[in-house]
Amino acid sequence: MLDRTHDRTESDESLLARFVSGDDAAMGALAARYEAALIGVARGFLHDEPSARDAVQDTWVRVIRSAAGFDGRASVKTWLYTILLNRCRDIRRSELSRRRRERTVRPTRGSGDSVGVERRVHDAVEQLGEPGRETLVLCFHRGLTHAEAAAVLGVPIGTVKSRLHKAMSRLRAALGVAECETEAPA
Amino acid sequence: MNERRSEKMTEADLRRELEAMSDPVDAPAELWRAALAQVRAEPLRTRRFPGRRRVWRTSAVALATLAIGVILTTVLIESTSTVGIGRAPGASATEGDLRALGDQLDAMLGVEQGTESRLAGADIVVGAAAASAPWEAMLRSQVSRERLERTAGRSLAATASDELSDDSSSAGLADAAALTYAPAAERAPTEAMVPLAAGQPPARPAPALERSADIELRVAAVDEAIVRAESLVNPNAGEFVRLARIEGEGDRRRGAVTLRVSSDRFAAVLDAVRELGRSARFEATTTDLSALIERQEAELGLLLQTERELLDRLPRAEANAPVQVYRYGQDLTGTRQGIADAENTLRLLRDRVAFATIRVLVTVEPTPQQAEPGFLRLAGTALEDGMREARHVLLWLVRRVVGSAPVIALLALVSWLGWHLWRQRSVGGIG
Repeated sequence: MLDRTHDRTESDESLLARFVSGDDAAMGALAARYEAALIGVARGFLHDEPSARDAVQDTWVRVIRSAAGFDGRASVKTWLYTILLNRCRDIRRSELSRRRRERTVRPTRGSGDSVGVERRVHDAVEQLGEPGRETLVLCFHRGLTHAEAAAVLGVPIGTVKSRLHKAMSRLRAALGVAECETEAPA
Repeated sequence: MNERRSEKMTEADLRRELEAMSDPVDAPAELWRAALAQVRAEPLRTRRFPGRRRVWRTSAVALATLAIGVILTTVLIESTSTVGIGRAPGASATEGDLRALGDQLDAMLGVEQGTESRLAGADIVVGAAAASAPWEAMLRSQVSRERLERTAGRSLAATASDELSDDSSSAGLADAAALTYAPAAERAPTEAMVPLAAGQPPARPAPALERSADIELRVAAVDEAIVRAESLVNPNAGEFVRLARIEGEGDRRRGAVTLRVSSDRFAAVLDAVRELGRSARFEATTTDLSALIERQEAELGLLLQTERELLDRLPRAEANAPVQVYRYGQDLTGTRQGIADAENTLRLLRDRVAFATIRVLVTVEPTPQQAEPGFLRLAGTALEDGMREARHVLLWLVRRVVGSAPVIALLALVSWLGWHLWRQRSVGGIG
């Protein structure tokens, strides 16, 4: 597993400040830490890598535009994930709207015996509501703690835990998995 | 779904799949370069300014607008509530200026057009000190006093004048004593340009005041109270009862009596009347007739002078022409008629000053209701009280809201700015 976020010698805030002062390499260093993780999370939200890459590129555009307005009230990491989450929501909504206009139904699963475990999980996750789906993706993402996921979603950590519990129960029921004691990695 | 459940999936499989769903990709970071190039390629005017700078710019514009609005409102209020003459401060006043100011004050006070102004018969004395003082404040104070005296009585004028003096105490009113007036007949022409010494009050004769009072009494016995009120007049001093009336029966019995008593005994008789019962209403009025009496005396003096001159010329005319004698005779008759009218008017005015009027209305003291009010009456009273209170609260709120609109607007602006800043700073606000 590639975990670029732990390879850091300078704080994210310092890198952002350097970028604001004109050092583009600082933004490169920041991207080296987070871009792969952001693409992974976006892929978890959108189930489509090209769309995930578009979302991450849009995220960088917004970060570059708003870098001067960042005042450190939240961490840079949480800020990046929040922007990405909002962008993914926009993409999902526009995709849903486009599908409605075209009156086509996108197949949510493969055909016949090619349906594997991965597809079944993805389908089950898609059946969850937006809050549950987002909570599940963020909480099982290896780069975020529950507290950071709560900050990204803008809800208390207790809400995150209850949403996670509910989502996991529905997933187990849908996939026929016996319930386990632990919910998700913190 | 059911057929897919046939594949055995464990909790570990589920967690592994969920973690793999958002695993970071194994690829070099390159999207940020495309994003940077995209932002750099944007025209400068489409780029967003940093949020904080935009907020400060917006607040500066809003505050400037608010300040301009407040200044304009203040200037507008000032220009409509004060009298402007269009002369630079510090310039000396002329009688024309004073009359123009008087006309404006007449309009403000609602004095009818054509009413003879006391100011018209007076000479204006503007002291030398006024030439270097802020004379508009002095003129406003003095002329307002004159007009108020003429329209609302001396007591009101004194109060209002005190207020005016307080308002403009810092604007050179120490020199206001140098500005005064006096009837032309009472003063030598050479005194016209001599200012009074600072601090010296202008000499005024004792005012001729007409007094009257209205009092409403609640008594147990109306007839007895009327009789006792009538007995308060002293016929030997010329006092008399102008009106006495009793009417109605039972609880509706009421009486009225109007007493004309000597002005010297006005207060004493009034106290005695008030002791006849419980005073339900009392109103006293004092009117200054000094100006009318002075004018009437001046007119009478003029007519007497004319009569004397005619009587002097008449013997000389008898030797010359009968026509002239006839004309002098007619003038003399007219003058004597005028003298008689002036003396009558003067007598009436002095009579109004010499005797005060006390109007007394007497009614029966209502007996308190012994029966307990019913539920509906209590409910109605409570509802009425509640509605009245609600109306008062509503009016109070409306007055408060209207009165504090600028403050509310300012608070709204500050709140909006605070919210805007918070939104800019919050994590979820961007993107």
